[in-house]
Order: sequence, then C-alpha cells, then structure tokens
Amino acid sequence: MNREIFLATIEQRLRSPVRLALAGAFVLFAAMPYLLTILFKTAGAGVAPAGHGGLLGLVFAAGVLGQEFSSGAPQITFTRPLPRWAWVLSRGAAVAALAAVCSLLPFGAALLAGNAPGEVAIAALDQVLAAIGTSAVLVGLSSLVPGLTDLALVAGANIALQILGVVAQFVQKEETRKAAEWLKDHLAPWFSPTLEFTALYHGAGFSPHAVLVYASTGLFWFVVACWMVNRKELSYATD
Amino acid sequence: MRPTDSARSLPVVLLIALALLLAARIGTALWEKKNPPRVYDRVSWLAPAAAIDVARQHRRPILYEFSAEWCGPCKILEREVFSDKDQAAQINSLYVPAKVVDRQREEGANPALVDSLQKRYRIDAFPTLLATTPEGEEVGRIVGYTGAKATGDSLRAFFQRAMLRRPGVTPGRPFPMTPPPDSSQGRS
Repeated sequence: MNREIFLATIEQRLRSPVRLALAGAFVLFAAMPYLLTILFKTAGAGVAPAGHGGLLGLVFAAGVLGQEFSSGAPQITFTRPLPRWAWVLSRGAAVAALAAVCSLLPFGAALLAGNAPGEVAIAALDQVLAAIGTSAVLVGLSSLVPGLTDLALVAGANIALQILGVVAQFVQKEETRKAAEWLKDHLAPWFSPTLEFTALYHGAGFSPHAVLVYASTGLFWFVVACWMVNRKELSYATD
Repeated sequence: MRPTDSARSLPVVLLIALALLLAARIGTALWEKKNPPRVYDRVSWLAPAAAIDVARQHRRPILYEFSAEWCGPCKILEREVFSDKDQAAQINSLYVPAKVVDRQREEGANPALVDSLQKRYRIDAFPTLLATTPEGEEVGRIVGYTGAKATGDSLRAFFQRAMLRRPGVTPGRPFPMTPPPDSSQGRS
C-alpha cells in the first residue's frame, strides 16, 4: 500500500463538503436515540439496530476510482512506477478506514448513555464491517463506470433486489416465488456484504459461510477494480 | 522492467486467495444448507391452546409471538432476544410464552386457532409481541423488532400493567416446554 496515496485520499474525501454533510447527518441520525437519552436523562433504550455503516461506506467510497479517471489525475499518478493494484488498494483502504472510523462515532454516545460496553462493542463491530464491505463494493463498481455512476449502479442493484423481494413475497406461483427468493438471497451479499456479530453475541450459531461470503465479496470487488484499472490505457503511464 | 514487475501486474496470491475463498464459499453454502447454524431459542414456548390453559390455571400473563417462517425481523428477534439467556429467563419467569406462526403463505390457510387469535388481536404485521392478562385482555404490544433492550424493557412494563389489572398475577418458575404442537395449534 502507498502511504501518500492513502493520506491524500483521506484528505480529498474530507475536503468534500457534500460528503461531510451527508456523513454528519448519518452519524447524527444513528446517535440520536442515545443523545436523546442523555439529554432527557431517560432510561436507555439499549443499543438500537443501526444501518449507518453501509451508508457511510457509500458516502466516502462513491466515485473513489471513477471520479479520478474522469478528472484525469491517474495520468499523472502513473507516470511514477507505481503498481496499479497498490493505487487501488491505497484508495480503497483510505475510504474504508474513513467510513469505519465515522461509523464508530454514534457508539461513543451509546456508551455515554449507559449501555453495556460489550453490547456496544459488538454493535459497533457490525457497523464497521458493513462500512468496510460497502466500501469494497464501491471500489469495484467505481472502476467499471466514470464519475459517480457507481452510486447509480448500487441504487439500481438495490432496486432490483427489492423487486425480487416483492416477487418472493407476493407472487402466488411457487416456482417463481422460490426462484426470486433464491436469486435475491444469492445476489444481495455481492452488493451489501455484512457480518452480524450481534447475533453471535446473543447466542446464534457461528456461520463460517457468512464469514466467507463477506471476505470473498470484498476480495472479488478489489480484484475486479485492479483488473479494470490495469486495462486502462493512460498516456505517459509507466507499464 | 520485467513483465512480473510491471505496474499493471496483479499479485498472483490475490487471485489464488480469491479462487480459494470462492470455492470455500460455495462449499460452506452447500454444507450449511444441510446443517444450518443453530439458533438457540431459550424461551419455553407453549402451543397457543396449552398456553391459554396454563395461564388461567397459574394466573400468569400470556406473551404471544405472532410470526411467520418467511419473516426476516422475526429471525432477528429470535437471534437477539429469544436466544439471549437473560432475556429468555425474564420471558419464561414473567409470562406463559406462546408462539403463533402464520402458515398462510406456505399452506394456503392457517389453523383455526391461529386465525382466531390473529383476528381477535388484529394482527397485521410480523413480528408482533402481544402481552395479555391470563383472561386474554391485551396489556401491550410491540410491532416489529425494536432492539433487544427496548423489547426487554417493554415486556417488563407490560407485566407491570398486567399485575395492576389482575392483582393475582405474579412471576414464577418457567413452565416445561411442550413438544412441538400439531397443525391444529400452529407451529412453534
């Protein structure tokens, strides 16, 4: 991994007012139940189910490669003998780290609200993993399309999955229903990889498959991104 | 620059790791289809008919869980609340727990008792946790999954309400779990 690119990517993301505003809104929204508990000194409502990790991944990772190629910056970056995979890894790791750190913020409020540290830590781990997983997906998608079109791909995939979910729930024909359910179950993890340690903490059985789904999805999108970036012909770039 | 040192090279170890992970992913999917990871439901569920009898006999409120096999939040509720040792112990000592599983989608119709309970308590979403006095008067309900602690707090509050309405109501020892009820009583 290239440290300079890693730090430069973090700085670039933190200089975007839109990303900061969106990230702030998601963090605040996730922290709201705890802040209200602290503010009104009411009995805590426990660690609420949250989904902000994935959203923060979307905010920070959108366009992580696509916007760069649209701006023409890699033409200059790759005049140095820098392996392209290292560039992808550095940029991906930067956005994933940023999303992961921000996804921890609401849990500070959860601790201040008097929730059990163990429960808070497990819920925080779930969100950190969701943030990293979503960032990995965005890195892959971002290598396929220019600018911020990767967001459109994610939105399209999620709409398609929702439609499959509706078909799986409301279609009467058994075969169609089962096929839709199967497709949804198998496609969804490719676009929103998550690992739920909360369930494990509460006594659910350990699923090695869930861990492998998460790890293989992240690596798959990283390899896709490297492959796509390697295929790009850039003037002045070293080969 | 040698081809292997090319800026465009992709570390072979990555490709090998990806191939291994994907193979293991498929393998574990097939394995877990036959051996799904266990969810330890620690609540001593009774069939609805048995729960009604036991509740009247022991003056204990009933906690109905209205759910369905296809309902995702019901599975989260099961994993995070019913499998939790403390939460399950609280439910078992405060209530006579009864599981009412909707089979409309799978079997086209529900057993009569499941239908009548759903109609009586106007259940229109899963999961619904509904607490009643031993006589069946509703004292509170939680629709959807609201988190483990919020669920536990609400269930304690519902029990207090049941005690206020029926002074004879007291917590006690859990009841032994009955064998899985037959189709006339819903599935648990």
